[in-house]
Amino acid sequence: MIVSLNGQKKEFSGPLTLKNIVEKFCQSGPQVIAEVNGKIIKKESWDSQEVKNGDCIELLNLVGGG
Amino acid sequence: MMTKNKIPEDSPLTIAGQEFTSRLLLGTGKFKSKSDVAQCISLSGTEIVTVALRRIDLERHDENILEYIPKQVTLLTNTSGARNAQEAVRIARLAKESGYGNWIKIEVINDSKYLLPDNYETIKATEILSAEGFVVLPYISPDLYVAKELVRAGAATIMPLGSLIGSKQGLKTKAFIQILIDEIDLPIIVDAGIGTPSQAAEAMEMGAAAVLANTAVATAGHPAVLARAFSLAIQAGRLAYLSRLSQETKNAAASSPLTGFLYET
Repeated sequence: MIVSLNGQKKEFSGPLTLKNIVEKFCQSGPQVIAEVNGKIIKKESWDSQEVKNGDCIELLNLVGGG
Repeated sequence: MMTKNKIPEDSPLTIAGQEFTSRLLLGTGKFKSKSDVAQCISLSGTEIVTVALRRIDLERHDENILEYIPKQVTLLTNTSGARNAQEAVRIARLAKESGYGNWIKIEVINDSKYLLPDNYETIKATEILSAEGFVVLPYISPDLYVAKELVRAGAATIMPLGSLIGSKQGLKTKAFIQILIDEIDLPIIVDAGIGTPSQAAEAMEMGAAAVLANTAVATAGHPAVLARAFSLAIQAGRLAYLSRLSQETKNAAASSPLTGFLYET
């Protein structure tokens, strides 16, 4: 399946959960904020959120800013 | 009421019912190293810092800024990157998911040359987010009517710019900030363009509630030392304001007696 992850096209062979993706790409797990197809997904639901073909995933965190 | 010539105990800076001793807010952007941020917080005594929300860099593993900010410091996430109210609202809701509170600095900018805020989109975003329970600190170009709308929309403070972000030009908008201080019944926090502690002191002498500095501190040779200087200047400016400074005059007025001169004039 192909998903958009932080604006980049990524190809994965499923099945995958949002938690799998966060663990694969993000070091600071506890600080990650996740949005799938415009909807905020709470941390406790990452394990049950199945990643589907065409999903638009945003993984965000807080950084230095003014 | 102040006892004459007695150094007063100032009332705390109060925002949304929360009290703060420090009237310096610190931005955490542009620092060469994140440990500088920690030292600045420590040496200046600031109790509120701003952060931004960004996509995680999937290739690099950046250090987490939050590890350098003590737990008791209030995090104020800005909506930088938002070009309109809708984008600012989305950023705010995402930032709240971080679990670090619901304080949001609304920053809506869609001009990359001057980085001037869109006051009208800021009002719209303030209305929506304040209704959702956020503590909203909107960043604007100082404008009395916009500020009155923001009060009505539920803002917790008003944050007028002193001059362009990162320019260190100081209080170019001084007269208009003074109008807000005199007419708006909310803490006025001067933000953007504050390049030196003396400019910060000047803002406090006018009656500003607090000052936010970022670029000046982050780009200094010794950021933590300058952060401390800002803190001291803000305290001095606040004390000057409380002392009820007399106004400047157009003409001279002699400081020494005009009689009993040694030489006849």
